[in-house]
Amino acid sequence: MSEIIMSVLVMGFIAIILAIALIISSKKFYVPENPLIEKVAALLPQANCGACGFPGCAGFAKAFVENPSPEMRCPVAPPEVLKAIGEVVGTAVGEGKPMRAVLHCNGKHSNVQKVSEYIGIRSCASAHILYTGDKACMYSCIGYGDCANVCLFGAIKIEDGIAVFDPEKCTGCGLCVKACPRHVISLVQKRISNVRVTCSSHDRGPVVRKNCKVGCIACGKCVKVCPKQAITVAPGSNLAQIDDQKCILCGKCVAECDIMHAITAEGRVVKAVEIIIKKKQQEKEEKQKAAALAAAGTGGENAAAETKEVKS
Amino acid sequence: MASELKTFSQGGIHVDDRKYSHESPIEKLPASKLLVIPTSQHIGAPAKVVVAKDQAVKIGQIIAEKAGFISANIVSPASGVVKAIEARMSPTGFKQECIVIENDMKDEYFEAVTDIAPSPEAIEKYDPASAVKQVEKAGIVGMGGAAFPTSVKLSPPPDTKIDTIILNGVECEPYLTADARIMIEDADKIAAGLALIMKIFSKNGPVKGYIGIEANKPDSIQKMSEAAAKYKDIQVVSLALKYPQGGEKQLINAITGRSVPSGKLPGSVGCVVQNVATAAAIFDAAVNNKPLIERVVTVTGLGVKTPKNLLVRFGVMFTELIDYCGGITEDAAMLICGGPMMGKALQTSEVPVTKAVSGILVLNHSEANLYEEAPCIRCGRCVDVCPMGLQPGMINKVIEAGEYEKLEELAIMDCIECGSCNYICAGHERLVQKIKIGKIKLQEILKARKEKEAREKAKAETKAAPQDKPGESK
Repeated sequence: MSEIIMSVLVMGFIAIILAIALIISSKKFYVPENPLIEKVAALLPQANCGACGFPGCAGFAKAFVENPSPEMRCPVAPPEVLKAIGEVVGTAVGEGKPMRAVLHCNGKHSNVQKVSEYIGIRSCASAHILYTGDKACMYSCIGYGDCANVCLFGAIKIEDGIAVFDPEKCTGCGLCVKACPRHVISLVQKRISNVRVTCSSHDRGPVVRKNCKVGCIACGKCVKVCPKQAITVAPGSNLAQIDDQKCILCGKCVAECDIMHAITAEGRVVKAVEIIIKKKQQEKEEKQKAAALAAAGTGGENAAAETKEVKS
Repeated sequence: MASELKTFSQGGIHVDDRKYSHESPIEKLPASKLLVIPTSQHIGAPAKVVVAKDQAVKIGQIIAEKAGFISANIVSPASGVVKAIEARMSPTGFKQECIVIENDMKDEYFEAVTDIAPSPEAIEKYDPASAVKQVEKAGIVGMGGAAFPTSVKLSPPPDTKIDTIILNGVECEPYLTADARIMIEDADKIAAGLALIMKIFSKNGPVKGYIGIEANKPDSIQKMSEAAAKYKDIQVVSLALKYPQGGEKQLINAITGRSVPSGKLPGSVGCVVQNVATAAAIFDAAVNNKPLIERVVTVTGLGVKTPKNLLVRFGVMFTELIDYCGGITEDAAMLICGGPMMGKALQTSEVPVTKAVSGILVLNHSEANLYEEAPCIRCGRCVDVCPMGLQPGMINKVIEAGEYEKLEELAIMDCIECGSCNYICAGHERLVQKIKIGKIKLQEILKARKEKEAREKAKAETKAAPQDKPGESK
C-alpha cells in the first residue's frame, strides 16, 4: 500500500514542479501575435491549396493582416467570406472573379486512336517527357490523372481517358493548370454555362482529322459567326481560341462547328444551340423546297414570289 | 591475371551481355529512295536549315548549319533533291523538324574525297591545324549514343591541359555489338584516328592514348592491339566486365584512376574521351575529307529474326533495317532505340536512323517483361551499385513527396541515368524514370531562383540609382 502512496506522491510532486516551470516559461517566452490573424485564418476555406501564393491559409492570413492590400486574393473563398474578412481587417480582400477549371480536349478513347501501350509510371509528367503519349494526338489530355492527384477538392475524375471536371466542386485554385504537362487545362469564369474549344492541337487540319474525330481544324467558320469577335485563330497556331471574357454564350459557334464538333457547350447554351440548329435545318429545308419549285419550270417565278411572301 | 583487370572503383553491376550479333560481320545496307534527316541529332541547339525545297544537294553538302557553340552541322547523306522540310517523328519519340531528301542513287560527292589508307606515315604527314575545322564541317558528333558535338570536345578552353586521350571501346550496354565489330574490321582506322587526336593535343606537351575494351571481346582486343602497336604511346587496356564502364567518368576512373569532380567535364582531369567509331570518323574527315554520312547500327534482340550489324546511311527508316534482318518475330513486344539499359522505347518504327542511334532493339515478351512495382524495402542496394555515389532510393522518396528543392542537396544532376539502380531494385521501382522527372522539376526551380535573383538585383540597382544622382549634383 505504502508503495502506491509513495509513487503517487512522487509523481504528483514532479507534476507540480513541471507545471510551474511550464507556466513560467509560457509567460516569459510569450510571443505576442495579432489576434486578427487567427480570426482571418478561421474564416478562410482551410484548403491550404496555395493558390493565393502563400504557404496555406495561415500563411495568407498572416501576410494579409500584416500588410493588407486589395491585390492579395483568395480565389477559393466565396464572396461573402471575403466580405467577412474585409470587415475583420478593415481592408477588403481583392475580389478575384470566381473561376473554374475546364479541359481543352475531348480525346476520349472513342474519339482518338490509341497507338501504343504505356507501361511506365502512371503519371502524365512521366509519359510526357518520354514520348508523345499513347494517343495518336500529341497535344491531347494524357489521362493518367496528374490533375486529379493534385486536386484538393475532389473535383476531377478521369473518365474514358480524359479528365472530367465537376464545376460545382471546382474552386478555381489553379493547381491542376500547373500540374498538367500538356497545358490542356485553363481557368474560365465560374458560371454553369460555358462555351470552349475542346481541342489543343496545333497540328494542321488534315493531321488532326486523321488523329481525332473531334479536333479543331482551324477552318475559321466559328470566327465568322461570332457576334462579339471573341474567337481568334492565331496565325500558325492552327487552333481556334475563345476569349472567355468576351464570350456571351450565344452558342452560334457551337452550331457552326457541325462537322468536327470541336466546340463544346455546357449548361444553358446546350439548349440555345439546339434551337439554332433546328432553325438552320428549317431554313435549309425551305431553301430546298424553293429550289425544287423553281426547278419545276412553268410556275417557277410565282412560286419564288410565294415563298418570299411566306417569309416576310 | 583476370583478377588484375582494371575497372572503375565505385558501384556498378554485372549484367548478362547477350551479344547475339557479335559474330555477324558488318553488312552494308543499300541507301533507300527517301531519306529523312532531323535537324536535331546531337546534344545542344538544333541546326539551322540552309537548303530550300526542290534544291539539289550532293553527299557532304551542309544542309543544316550549327546554331550556337554546342551544336553540329548536318550534311546530306545522299545526292538528290530536297523534297520537303517538315515536322516528322524522330527517334527521340517526338516530332522534330526534318529535311526529306529524295535520293537519285548517283552518290555524287559535293567536294572531292581522297582514299588515303590509315598508316603512321599518313598521320605523320598530316598537319593537324585544320583538323578541328574539318571535323566540324563533316558534322561529326560522339557516336556512342550521347551525340556530343566532337569539334567542341576537340577544342577545350585554353587553360585546360589535356594529357590523356581515351578511346571508348567498352560497349557495356548488353546486346549492342556495333563498336566491337568496327574494332575488328576497322582497327587500323581507329588507331590512326586516335593518333590524329593525340597529334591535335600534343602541342601543349606529351599526350598518351588508351583504348579501353572490356574483356568479353577478346577478338576486338587482339585486332586493336595489333593496330595500336604501329603507333607510339597508344595502349590497349583490357577492362573487367562491369556496367556502366562505358560512361565517360567511369572509363576515366577505370583507366587512369582519376575521378572527375561533380559537375565538371573530363577536361578538368586532363582527359578527353571519344568513342572508337568517332575516332574512325575523325580520321576520314580530317585526312580524306569524307563527311559523316553513315554509321554502324546493331539490329538485335529476340524479337528480330536474324540479329545483324548494318552500315546504314543516316535517314533510313528503322522499318527497313528490321526488314533487312528478316523482320520481327511473332512474339515481338517492344522496340527500343539504343541499348536496353539507357535506350528509349519507341511507339513506331517509322523513324529515321540518326547519328545517335547505336542500336535498334526489338525485345520479345519474355525479355520485355516488366515486373510490377512494389514498395521500397530500404535494402540499400541502389546505393551500393550507383556509379556516381548517389542515393537513388532516397531521391525517389523525395520526388514522391514532391519536395523537389531537396534534390539539389542529393546531387540529382550528377545522375547519368545508367539504370543500375533500376536493374538491382528489389521492389522493381522505376527509379530512373522518376529521377528524370525530378531533374526537370529541379531545373525549373533553379531557373526560377536565378530569375528571382536577377530581378532582385535589378530592383536593388534601380533603388540605388536615384540615391546616387543627388550625390552627384552636390
